[in-house]
Amino acid sequence: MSLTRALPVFSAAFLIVYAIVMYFNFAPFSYYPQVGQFASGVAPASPTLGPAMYWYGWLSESFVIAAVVAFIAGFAPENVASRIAPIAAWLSVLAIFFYPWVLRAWFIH
Amino acid sequence: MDTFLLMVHGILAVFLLGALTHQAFAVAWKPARGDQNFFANYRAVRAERYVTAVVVLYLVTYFVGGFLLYPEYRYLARPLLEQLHKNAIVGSFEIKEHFMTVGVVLLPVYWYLWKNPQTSTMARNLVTIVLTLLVWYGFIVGHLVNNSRGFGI
Repeated sequence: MSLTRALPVFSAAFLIVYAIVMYFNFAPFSYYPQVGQFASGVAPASPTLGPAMYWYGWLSESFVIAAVVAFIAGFAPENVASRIAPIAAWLSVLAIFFYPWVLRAWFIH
Repeated sequence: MDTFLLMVHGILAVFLLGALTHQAFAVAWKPARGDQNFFANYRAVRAERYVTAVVVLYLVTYFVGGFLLYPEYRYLARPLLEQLHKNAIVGSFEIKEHFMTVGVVLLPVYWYLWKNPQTSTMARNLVTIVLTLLVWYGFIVGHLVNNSRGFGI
């Protein structure tokens, strides 16, 4: 298993998984920053607990899935990593257009 | 404490911005041989020397912003901005949250590409330039949000 070979795969997998979980709001847990409490799943805002954050849930979920994929990829030949690296680079370019498009409602309402 | 953290976050971001901008110019616009003016010297840096500093600075800046400052923004500043109907400001900051995550996720491939010179030069340059653009976006939007009342936007 090679950590170096796993790095580009981790980046590419995380970029894909994060976009999906963010878009569909697949948060395994929510965080209430006002009171410092966690709740399972996508919890709503509450008058007593304040607004709920899903971002940490998306990050954790994406990290775990990408780490598993990268671990498996660590056993792949070196040329797999060198082929995945440009894909990760182009995925980041797509991300620059994807997130403003997903969040466009903030600018047009 | 929050003001102190905000200043630390801003100062770290300036260091990061400086390192990445130097590196991005070095890979995107190499100086011609014998070119001795200021801009040529600005671009004529050894870009590979910035890699570790960029990774460390990015991780620390991301941690301070995303984990020490962002929760308070989420329940103190954002509801206020929403009440004031400053939707473009809130939206810009939402995009920043995701752009900065894209940046932190790019760090492993960025490190891989720079530490393995035989890999794709195009991918290495692209990741460096994207990372630079993301950090510039985060820096500018961070200031806009922090000073939105003063800017009157």
